[in-house]
Amino acid sequence: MRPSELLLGAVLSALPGCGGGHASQQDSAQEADKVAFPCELGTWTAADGFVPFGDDAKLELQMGFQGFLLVAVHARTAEPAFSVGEATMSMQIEGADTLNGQQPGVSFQDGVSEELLVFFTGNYLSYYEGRTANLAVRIEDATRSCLVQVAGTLVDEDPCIHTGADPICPGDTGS
Amino acid sequence: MTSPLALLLALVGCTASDWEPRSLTPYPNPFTADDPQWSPQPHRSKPQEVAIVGGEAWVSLPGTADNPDDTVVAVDLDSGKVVDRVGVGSNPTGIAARPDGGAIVVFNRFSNWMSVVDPNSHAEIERIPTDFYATEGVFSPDGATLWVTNRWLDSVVIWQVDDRNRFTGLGSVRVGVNPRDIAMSPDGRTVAVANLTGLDVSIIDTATWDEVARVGLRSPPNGLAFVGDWLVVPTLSASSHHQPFAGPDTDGDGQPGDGTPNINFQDMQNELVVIDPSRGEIAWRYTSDSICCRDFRDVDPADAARHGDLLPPQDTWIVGGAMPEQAVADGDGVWITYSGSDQVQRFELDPDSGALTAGRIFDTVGHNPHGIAVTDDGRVAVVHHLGETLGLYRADGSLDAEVEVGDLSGGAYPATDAEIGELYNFVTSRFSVDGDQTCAACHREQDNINKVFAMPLAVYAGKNSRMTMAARGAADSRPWFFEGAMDQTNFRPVINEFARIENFCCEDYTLFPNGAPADCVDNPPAECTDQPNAYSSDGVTAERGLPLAHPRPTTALTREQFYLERAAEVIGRTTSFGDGVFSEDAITGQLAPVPLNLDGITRALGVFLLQNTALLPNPNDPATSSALRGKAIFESTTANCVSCHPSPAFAVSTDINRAGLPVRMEPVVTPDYDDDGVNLDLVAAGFISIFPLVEQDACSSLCSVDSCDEDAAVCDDLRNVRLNVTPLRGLWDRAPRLLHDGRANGLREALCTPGHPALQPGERGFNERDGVPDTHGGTSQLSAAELEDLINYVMTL
Repeated sequence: MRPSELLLGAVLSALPGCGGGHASQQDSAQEADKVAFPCELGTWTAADGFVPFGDDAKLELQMGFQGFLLVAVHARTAEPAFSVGEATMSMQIEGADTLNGQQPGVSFQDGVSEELLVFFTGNYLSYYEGRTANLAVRIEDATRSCLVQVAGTLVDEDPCIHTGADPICPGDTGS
Repeated sequence: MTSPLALLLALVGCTASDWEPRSLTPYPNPFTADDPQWSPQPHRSKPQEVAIVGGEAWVSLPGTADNPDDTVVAVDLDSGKVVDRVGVGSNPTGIAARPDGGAIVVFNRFSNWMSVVDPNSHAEIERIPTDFYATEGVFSPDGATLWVTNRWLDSVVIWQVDDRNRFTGLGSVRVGVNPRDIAMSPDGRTVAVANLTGLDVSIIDTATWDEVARVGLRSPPNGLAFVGDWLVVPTLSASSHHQPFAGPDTDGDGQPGDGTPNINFQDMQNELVVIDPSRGEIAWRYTSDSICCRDFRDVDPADAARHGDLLPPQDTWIVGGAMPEQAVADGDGVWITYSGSDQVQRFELDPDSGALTAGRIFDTVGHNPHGIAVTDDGRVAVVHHLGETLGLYRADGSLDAEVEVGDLSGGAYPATDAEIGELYNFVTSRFSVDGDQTCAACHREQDNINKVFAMPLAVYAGKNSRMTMAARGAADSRPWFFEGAMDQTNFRPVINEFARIENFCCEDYTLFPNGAPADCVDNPPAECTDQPNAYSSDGVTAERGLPLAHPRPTTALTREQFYLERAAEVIGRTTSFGDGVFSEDAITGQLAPVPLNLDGITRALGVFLLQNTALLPNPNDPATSSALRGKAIFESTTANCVSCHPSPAFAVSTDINRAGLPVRMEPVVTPDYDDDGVNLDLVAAGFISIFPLVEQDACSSLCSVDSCDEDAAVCDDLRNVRLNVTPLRGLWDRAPRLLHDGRANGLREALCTPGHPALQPGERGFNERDGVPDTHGGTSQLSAAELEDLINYVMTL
């Protein structure tokens, strides 16, 4: 999927308070009385801090605790005093089912959220690897809401899996 | 033994002249139409027990704790038709038929009377005043006495019955915690009582009223039946899921560990115990027929390195179903209902030795078989508790008739997403790879059992302890579990244990460490059929290449495939209805049903917990002077219980937190340290990684980064995990073990500081943290009487 297919600005502009927008988009899940604010998705590390996704984001598939397969992203917003919200996430995957999930109690610190986790409960890692995906995230509290989308490719660049206390890397198993 | 009549009147709480019929009111449920996951639920009657009287089967219809029913139904056994519905008290559970067929007594848990029903006129002809929570009963063979269990009072009440069916209370016998089922030996000399929560069986001499033995099972006795001189008890495994020789000594052998080789949920088995009542001892203990090798972590009997020799002898692996529930004698045999796998099995019993031999097993046509009886013509009457029907089966297991005794007017069961979750909760085993595991095994009647378990989410898996939690009052006590990290959307790690991905070829990372072929499901590689299941040498981590490898437990290639196959078989559909479990498109807000895979089932189970408080209405009087004094103490600034335990759940939760306290708190009692001072309460880093709400000290926050890099456990004596506040509502009916690891045996131990004058001989006070008293509320200043007042108040919540 080309990045132009998913333009953050286009989505944000459809929201109340962001100007413009199609009628169909104004019928979105965003409750009419909530004030929209902008946010963006990216990665966060202690070393690099928040790095927003660029064109064709790499969405790293992680095999995590107990073998759960997930993608973890972070959100950033300049909205002042937005500290805790609930995230609703949808991921359209090329040639596969759409994943949906919710994460309550998402906390923000210095405008950056904790990890937003999208779980893949349907299939196995290699099934998804290399497929393009469109991730939409809505974060809201009682009065405010932001909606952001990112397009990218599901990748598996970490050679290790993290199902238990210690990573298991190629060559570790069966030895 | 207690004094007969005076004590009976005290038990009844009134004299005959001032008695008025009363029924308890269910707890309100804060989960309402304001919540998008709420949906109207069909009325169900939840048929439970059955008794045969003449040519009729009588079935109790208790309803639920939230919406109790008040009816028993009579079914004509010849025509297979319902012939009458008789109004009785609220939440009727047990039914006892007088041996001469002259009277039927129905035990109404939420009403203060037993109903005497005339089997001829089909009318409630008398109400016998009794305490709330009379639960089950049994007549003596001569019909002269009636023995009744009382869940509230942990006792058996004995009644004299004359020829004109007049009942006179004689007295009571104290038994174990939450007695339910009761049976009498054919010679009338022995009564056996199943103490469901207390995990033991009381043996009572009917001549002296002495409890002559308390037979500990370390598992819930789900039912009872005398077969000749022997007592057959459907139950579960005794394991606590700890390592065999590490962690707490939960088998009482004086050594660490529980003495069984499997750990975590692999140790969940289904068992039948045969007790020799004359000796008050277990003569035989039989276990699941698939105890080995159907999960990658199962221990093989030949696996000496992992204590395979600790497995029960293979000739005791004869229990064919899951969740052995009720038993009924039939000649020299016994029929067992398996409520967790929708099955019934017959066993033959050797009268000399008490040994069982497995007989035929058959599937029931209705879900969650519970009560069972044998008709005069040899048919087996089985109550389908969730299916709302009574099945009449021939001895060969074929169905003769299925009778709608409950309420299917709202549609065939399940009709909503909450009912899908309920079905999964009670008939889980079909969704577990070994066919043995059920949610209800530990959450009997959604209550908890008096047992601590090792949980797989810990740093020190197999050594740590968490008290079993009651699955009740969920709607306003989120987030759930001691770690306060989960709600109805995401507690999938719990049911993950029933079917781990390591068992499914295309997800088996030990087989395909670099990932299975992308088209693995469509074109299964040869490895899926010629390579064995994964293996685990430590009970946790999956490995491959070791000599003791097992066949795969299922042909499903992914867990998704497994779940959808089982959902189609058990539930009859592969997607949610969408009334309570749905996906929401983040952009459009459009809602849609979801597949009943692990995630969908988890969420259905969550909605079930929200839709039903399952809290048994509280019979304790909040207006006694003692309770009122206790309330004042509870709310005082010195004890200050109310800050962390605010109403209505009497816990801080996401929804109820008037004082603005942290939902997860520093430990209020000393953590569960091992002998080296390591905090066994800590949860695994991986668990935290998928549950960001978990709050636990990082090693580097307490010790140097370098030392933590060198040894991640270097600070595990200093680190703490924050735990949430356990709701006090409904505590009156909960298992006596309290605090997160179940160390406190009763409220006195949980509330008292060490050495408190209220403590009884042998009791310990755990209200301290690392030697500092009063960390679990200020109680050291209370007198013994004041502490009892406080306890009496908490018991009214």
